[in-house]
Amino acid sequence: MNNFLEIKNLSIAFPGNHLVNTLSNFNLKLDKNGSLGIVGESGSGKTLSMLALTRLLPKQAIVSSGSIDFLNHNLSEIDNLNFYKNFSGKKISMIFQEPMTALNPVYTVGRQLMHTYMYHNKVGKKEAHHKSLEMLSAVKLSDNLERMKQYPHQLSGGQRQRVMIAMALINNPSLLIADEPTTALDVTVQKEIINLIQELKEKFGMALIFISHDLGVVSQVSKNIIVMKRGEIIETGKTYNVLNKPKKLYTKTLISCLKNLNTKRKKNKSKKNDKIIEVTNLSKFYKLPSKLFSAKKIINAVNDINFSVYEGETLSIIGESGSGKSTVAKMLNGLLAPDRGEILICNKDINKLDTKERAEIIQPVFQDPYSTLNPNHTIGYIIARPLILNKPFLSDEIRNLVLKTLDLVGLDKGFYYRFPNQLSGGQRQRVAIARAIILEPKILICDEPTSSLDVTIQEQILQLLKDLKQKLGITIILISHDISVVKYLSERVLVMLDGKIVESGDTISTLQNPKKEYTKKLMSAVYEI
Amino acid sequence: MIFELFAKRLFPQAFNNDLSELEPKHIFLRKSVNHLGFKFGLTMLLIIIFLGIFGPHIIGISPYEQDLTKRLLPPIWVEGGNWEHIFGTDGNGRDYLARILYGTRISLTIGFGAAFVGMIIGISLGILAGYFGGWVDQLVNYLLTCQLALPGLLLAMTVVFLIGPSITVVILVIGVLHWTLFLVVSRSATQRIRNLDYVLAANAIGASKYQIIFSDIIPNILNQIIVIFTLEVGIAILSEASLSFLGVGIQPPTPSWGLLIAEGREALFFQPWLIILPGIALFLLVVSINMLGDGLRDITDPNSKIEIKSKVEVPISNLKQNINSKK
Amino acid sequence: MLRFIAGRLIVVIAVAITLSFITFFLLNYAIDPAQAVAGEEALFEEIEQVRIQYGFDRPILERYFEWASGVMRGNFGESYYWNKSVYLLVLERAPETITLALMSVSVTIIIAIPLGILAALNPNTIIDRFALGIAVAAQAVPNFWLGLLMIILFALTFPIFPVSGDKTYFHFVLPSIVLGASSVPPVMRLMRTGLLDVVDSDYIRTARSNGFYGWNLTINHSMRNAVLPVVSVLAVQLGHKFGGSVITESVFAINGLGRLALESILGTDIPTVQILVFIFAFMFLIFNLFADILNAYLDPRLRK
Repeated sequence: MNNFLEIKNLSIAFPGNHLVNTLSNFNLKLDKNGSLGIVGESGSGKTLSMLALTRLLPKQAIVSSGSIDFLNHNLSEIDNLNFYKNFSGKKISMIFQEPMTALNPVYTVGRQLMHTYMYHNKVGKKEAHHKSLEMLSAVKLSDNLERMKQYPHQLSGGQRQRVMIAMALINNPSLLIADEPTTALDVTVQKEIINLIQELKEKFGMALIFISHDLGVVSQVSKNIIVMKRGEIIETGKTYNVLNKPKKLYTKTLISCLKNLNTKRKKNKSKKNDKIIEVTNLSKFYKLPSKLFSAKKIINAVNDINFSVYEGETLSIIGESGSGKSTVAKMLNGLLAPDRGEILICNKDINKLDTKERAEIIQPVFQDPYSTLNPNHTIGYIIARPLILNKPFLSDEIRNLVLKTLDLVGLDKGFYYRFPNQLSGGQRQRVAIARAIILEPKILICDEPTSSLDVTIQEQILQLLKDLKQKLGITIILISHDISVVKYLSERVLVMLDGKIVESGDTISTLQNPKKEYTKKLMSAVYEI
Repeated sequence: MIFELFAKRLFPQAFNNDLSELEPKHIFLRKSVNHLGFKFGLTMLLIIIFLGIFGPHIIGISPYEQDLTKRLLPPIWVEGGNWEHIFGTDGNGRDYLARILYGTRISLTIGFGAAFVGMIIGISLGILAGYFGGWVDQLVNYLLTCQLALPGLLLAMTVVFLIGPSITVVILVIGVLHWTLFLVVSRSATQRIRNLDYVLAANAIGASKYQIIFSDIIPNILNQIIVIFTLEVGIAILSEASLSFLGVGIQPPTPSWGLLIAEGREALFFQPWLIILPGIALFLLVVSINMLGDGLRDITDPNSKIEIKSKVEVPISNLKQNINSKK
Repeated sequence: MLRFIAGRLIVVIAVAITLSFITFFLLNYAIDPAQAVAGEEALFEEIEQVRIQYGFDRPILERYFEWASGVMRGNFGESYYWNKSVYLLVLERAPETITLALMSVSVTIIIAIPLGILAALNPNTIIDRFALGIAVAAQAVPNFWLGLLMIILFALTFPIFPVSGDKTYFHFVLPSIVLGASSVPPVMRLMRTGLLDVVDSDYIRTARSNGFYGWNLTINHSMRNAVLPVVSVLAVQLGHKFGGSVITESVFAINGLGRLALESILGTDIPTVQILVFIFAFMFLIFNLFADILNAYLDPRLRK
């Protein structure tokens, strides 16, 4: 009972629903002012443990065993009412992943802050208003009198996350739990928010529990670390020790995946093949839907860019969300017509190509494994579809080709008659790749192909892409926000910002010695182990 | 129970305990077996359909045969009732059971027919608007606002009355006035699916718009459409009953339930069963259809919270071993 | 905000014009207006005489513009069936229908909103099942049948409320319950699912993590979000009450617009039917406009 926070043998079960991961025998110790990181892939139970602490568990969940001691209180002896009044928000605060939805959209920032303060402290509106302003400055927002009157939708993602932090800290809690607070934010904003959290931790003298799937971020923030998998603690200890001398196999693979992705590769032989794609003066505008009485707004998604792709190389386009990289991908694929400029693929304008002809040259692989396959088709049909679009039936020849392709992407024959819902995320992404390569296209456009997958799966898919490139001599254009993925796979890189190419060149030299300010910022936001 | 036995006999794979092996239709079956409302609605609807088709033949009395010596006989459970006319007779001495059984056919025909007409109109407009967007969407939206603003029942009454009532006219008019729900649902579903990656992928492999609509969009909005269809059948049945009750729908002597209630109004206080019986029939039919529809909605909703649980509860300790062995 | 209202108003006017056009054409093509005036047994010559006398031989567009400009000046035309100005006819009958519509929507609100809230706060309990059961039943009960049952029940067994006529507010109690009951299912379901969604939302999780609970959480943090969709559906229901009053008024012998509509249809009195369809549609549009404005007031995201 001397610890600041101690959780012993916590187990959580979901009776009746066997698909949901449970938590078993979770243990945790944390000192006053201490910091702890919890790392794990999705479904590892890392959030569940903290929801049990803050009593925010989903209704179906049952805490089947365990005890929690916090500030010399045995929390299991404290009833809900007492807990809500004296602990939630007052002693323990939590910030969440989605800043877009975590603030109430119909109330002003000021009302939400003031209510939270007035609820726990018997103070008047004036004082609450004053305190709210103070907190907004503490999280380094400006124009705060104006800010108080704004609604969440008028703020950017980073600003909302700052408001969330201000709200969590307004009652001066002794423990802050941050659940993936930066995952939904842009890389450059991520860094700022993490620095802010660290700074405020010192300033307010709190303990911090930081939950993330990103080993790099966690190792930056916390002194101790817990690695979790499928509801159980795999390894725990000082961050430095765990990272450098991992004891368990899982931790080792996790770290080696990251290290693999981050290995510095030698510079490639700069043997230049023929140009396969040539993009000149490409532009795309989006008109926001025009409403009565308001002028049309035009957004330059892609603004006058030029580049070429050479046969057999891997080119990465890197940038944050909104930089226009996905728009470029769609235009290269002919799925979106450019407003200005042209795209020549094999010396033919992509938009003048017949769709069948285009399909045989260039194929896409998308980000979200859960929406990339039609749930009503079998895997066999999905892969064969490009071949049978104009044929009434499946011939044996096509069937054999599909089976061969399944083998090529590392899937068993047995998947032929399965449906997408029976596959895991990684397997679905393999099917999507099989569908893309069955026409033997010259170019593959991969739009964030691994960013929805867990780290270990990520590495497997990237390895597959690498192998395919060698076997089939395919040209790959990779769109990504993740620098380690880009480093792992590509020879050349384009850095995009606000619809323009900021910097381009050989991957290694560009990323190691960035010349432009933006690229430097982007690189400094990457945490390596 | 019977439902489960059938389901297990027909699709034994669906009751496999390894949940990751389930195909979409098996998941549907597995969930429907656990949905009480769905099972109840389906069973009752099947019984009513059976009665509607075979009932008049079984009792063997014509719903039109008048016998003025046997007017307003009470049903069997009221004093003075006899087994010859179980539900009694109406003001013209016609057997009430025969008329109610025959009325099932009218309600079902008009309900399904009108919902079908509405579905064709609504889905076509909805998919067009959802898939093409832009001015097509705006035009359809305008049409929708117009249709919503029109007082449907009043317009149906007027048109049916002026054109001249017949089953076909009633089906067409009710159908033409009830497509908005189909439109709204199919449009939003199409909009959502149009932006999914598998539609983009179909685009990239060279599939035409036609192929995408028929192979990627329609099959994936079908679940929601079936739900709306069942609910609209219920609404159409009630609309027909209202029209007939007001005297501007099905005309006598055809035994529509709405009409039976209208005819029974004259004897409201003395022979209340003339009103109560067809009303109960109407209520049971619509309740069963709505329960079926609500059940389908719960079952096909991917976010639904119905569990695909197996009958044998697996203890949590076993489960843990399962997880461990998978490593 | 003003811009928003102005934009909506233009849509309302455009839709109203379209609808007046559609109803006018529909009614004038569905039946020969001259024959409607002359009656079913009229001879050919009589019909032709009526056609010329009333100007039905003129092009339909010309007659539409004449009618439309009349309506805008408050001249709704003459009823051939009632031998009276349609304007007076409507004015005479409107109060009954307005009373009925407002009272029945109040019944809906009183039953549906609390039931929906209780069901959402106690999901999968007996309260929830009971509320859903009521919704399923109310959705399947034919309006007119419920009315007749009420009459049987209240005329004989519990003679508390009068069952026929429209002299006092007491006369409106039963009709309002019958008419209001049909709107309970959609409103209750929306209240329930709306609040359930809100309770599951990230911002309520935030509020809970800050210690809010119970009624404070429901009223200060959830209600405004949950009530947004309900406002729209209530407006739709109120709009439908006018058009839907036909059955209830005829069952309970209330001399309102609905009964006027039924009688006019049976008497093929086209000018009256025409104006009634238009008025009901216009009412619906106006209520929706109010709901949009109210929603924009409640939800800042809509105000853009």
